[in-house]
Amino acid sequence: MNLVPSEFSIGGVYFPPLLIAAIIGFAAAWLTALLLNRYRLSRFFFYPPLVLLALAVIYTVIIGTFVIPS
Amino acid sequence: MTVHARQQGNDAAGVSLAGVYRLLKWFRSEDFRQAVRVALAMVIVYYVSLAMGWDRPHWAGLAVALCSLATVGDSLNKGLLRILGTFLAGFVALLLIALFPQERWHYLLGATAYIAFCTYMMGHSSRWYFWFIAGYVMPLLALAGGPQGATAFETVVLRLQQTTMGVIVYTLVAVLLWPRHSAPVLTHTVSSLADLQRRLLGQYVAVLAGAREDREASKLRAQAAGSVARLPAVVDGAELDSFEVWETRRLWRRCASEFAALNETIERSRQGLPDLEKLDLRRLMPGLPALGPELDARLASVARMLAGRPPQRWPEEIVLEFDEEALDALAQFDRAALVRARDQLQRLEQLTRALFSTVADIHGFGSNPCDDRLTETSTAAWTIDLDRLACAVRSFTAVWIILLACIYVPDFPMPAGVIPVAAAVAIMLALTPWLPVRSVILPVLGTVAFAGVFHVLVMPHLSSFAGLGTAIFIAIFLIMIVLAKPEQAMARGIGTSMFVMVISVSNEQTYTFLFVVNFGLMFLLALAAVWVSTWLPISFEPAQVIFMQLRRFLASCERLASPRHRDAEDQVRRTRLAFDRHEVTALPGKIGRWMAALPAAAFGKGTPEQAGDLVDALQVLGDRMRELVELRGAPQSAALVRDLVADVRAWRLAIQEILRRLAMDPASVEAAHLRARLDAKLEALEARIERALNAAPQGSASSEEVDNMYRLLGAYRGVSETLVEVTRRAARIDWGALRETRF
Repeated sequence: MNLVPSEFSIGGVYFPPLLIAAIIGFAAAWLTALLLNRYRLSRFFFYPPLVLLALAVIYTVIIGTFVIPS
Repeated sequence: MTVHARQQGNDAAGVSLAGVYRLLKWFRSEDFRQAVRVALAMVIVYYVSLAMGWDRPHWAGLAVALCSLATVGDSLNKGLLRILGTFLAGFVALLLIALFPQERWHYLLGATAYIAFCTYMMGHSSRWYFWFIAGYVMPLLALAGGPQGATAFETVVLRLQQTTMGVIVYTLVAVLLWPRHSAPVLTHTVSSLADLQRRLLGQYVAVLAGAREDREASKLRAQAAGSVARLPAVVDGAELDSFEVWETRRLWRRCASEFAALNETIERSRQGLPDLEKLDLRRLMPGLPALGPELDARLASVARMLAGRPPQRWPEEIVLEFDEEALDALAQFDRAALVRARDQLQRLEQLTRALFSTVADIHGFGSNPCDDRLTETSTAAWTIDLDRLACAVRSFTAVWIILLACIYVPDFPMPAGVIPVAAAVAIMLALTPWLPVRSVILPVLGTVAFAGVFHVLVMPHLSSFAGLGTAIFIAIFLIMIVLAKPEQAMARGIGTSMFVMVISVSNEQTYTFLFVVNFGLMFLLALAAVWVSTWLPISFEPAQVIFMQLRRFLASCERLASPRHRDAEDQVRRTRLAFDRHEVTALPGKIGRWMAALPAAAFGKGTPEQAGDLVDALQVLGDRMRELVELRGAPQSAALVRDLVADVRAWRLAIQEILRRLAMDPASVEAAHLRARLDAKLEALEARIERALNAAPQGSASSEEVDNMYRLLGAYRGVSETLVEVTRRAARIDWGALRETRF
């Protein structure tokens, strides 16, 4: 098992993979929210801000686990 | 040379001449001049700060970036407010350290409560900038001194020193380089407003005489309302820029309040026009044809005096009398509408005369021989504004979220910066609470990227201040030119202020990409905290706010309709009355602004124009309710009250019931049914009033008491008619689509 984190280096600055996963996760959640609004599916949610937060967490975990693992 | 070649040469010369002409025009434009002023002032403050060896020169740069406005007076005014706000912030920062040196939670609670207080006070007057600075600079100063707080005093003094220097330098540059003074702007604003109100008055009088309302009238009304709202801030700037305006500042302020009162009276008068449609006003009020030209001449003289020319004649008091014979032939409610119209015309006559006298005083043309200037003093009790309070709660929450993150999240980036930034954004949003937080992200990230490139790639190659100063000049100039449009003011402020913060110039210069990244991340974290506080504990989602404000508006209308407010001696009731009056006055405008912030999907089958129509009807309802309250205290004939009290009470209860139902569901009342009920009620009352007047003993009611009865009946009718209009317009709104939850 490799415990050394695989950090991103941009201009000599090291970024933790979780930060990158979180940024992509939030962008994906935002895009999902736009699509849900577009097709009037957001009306089925009681409290959309919490759904957006939950989507961001779910996407971050999925991306952090399978796409950009630490 | 051939003819063709000569032609080409002439064309080329024409093109280059046109280019030179365009370039010259650009050099003479205010955008170019302002960009040069700000860029030059920025370079000078950096030079002075670095030459003096002062820390944090970007504080002076921030003062230049944020206090540079179009005129010298406006800039000086904002600069002084910045200095005074910094002074208060520094005092509170030191006071809190002295009061709670070891009690962390007490300190944080005191600091956040103070930030919430400053946020609330932002909406108090035209001097909102003072409270903005006082609110966000306090945490900045408290944290800039380091965790021990031992250098807090030096930090406060340094901030004051840099801010004052920035303000002085920009003011000097603005005075010396293409100066644009505020006094001519004030004169122009007042003159344009007088002209707008003259045209509005002319249209009103023309409609009274039987003409149709001009299509341009709504545009004129919007322009006049905008000018009236802007005028106090223009006076603030001009009084600091011009000795003449300073000497007469009280008169200018009175002039601004008289314009506001005139605008409101014109609007109220217009609201009564539908009730007068069938009446022959020329016959009923023989003095009316002479009044229109007289009011027009007075406002024309105001513009003439503002241009420095003396008035040709002084206005004389005009009293409008009725033709008693024609009056007796009128139905009771037509008579009520007529009494109201005369009251409004009489008020217009008084206000234009007062305005004439004030402007004559300002320009030293002497006093009006028959001057009975309005000496109205505000007797309104203090009242709380729930929307400003909600903004204060949002600031409090946003700062607490970021504070707890800084305390409990290890290695949280730049705590000394992220807390003031969160406070600044949250406080600033109190001015435009409908603005989504995400709209700030792009200008912030764009400027951080631009300034980051400047910091990392350009600055390391500069070896002297000549190079640095030139580079700063070019960068600031470019930001000012690219974001020069008036609607880009916020982006311009963000751009210039972010730039000076990110490049972080100092005498011991270091260049690190990490700082730029951390700075960008810090801003995003601060915006995230503000975004969370936009949902919790109070939601700022436009549709929810609109429903809440509509409920509050209708609830206040219902309370105002109740006679409980009559006992104005009771302090609690007086406070309650002031609160309800404030709510019905302010809420329609707020609802309109929130409606404009709705996404297109929220209107469903309706349109934004229909939402605007509903807002207009709510504004009229609010005005009518206030009018009703104002008339309640007027003396009434005991005999007439005895005869009519039961009918009026039933009418009032019906109004209250409809308002309650509308508050629960704006689409629950059918306009056609309401119209039929109102028509039946008016018919029944008409006959009852007729009988009561015939039955009343001779001399039991004075003419003033009879007029007061008509005024009160007219007010009830006005409220009822407006309620019918509100329900008719509310039925056009797609409330289902508005209620739908969306991200």
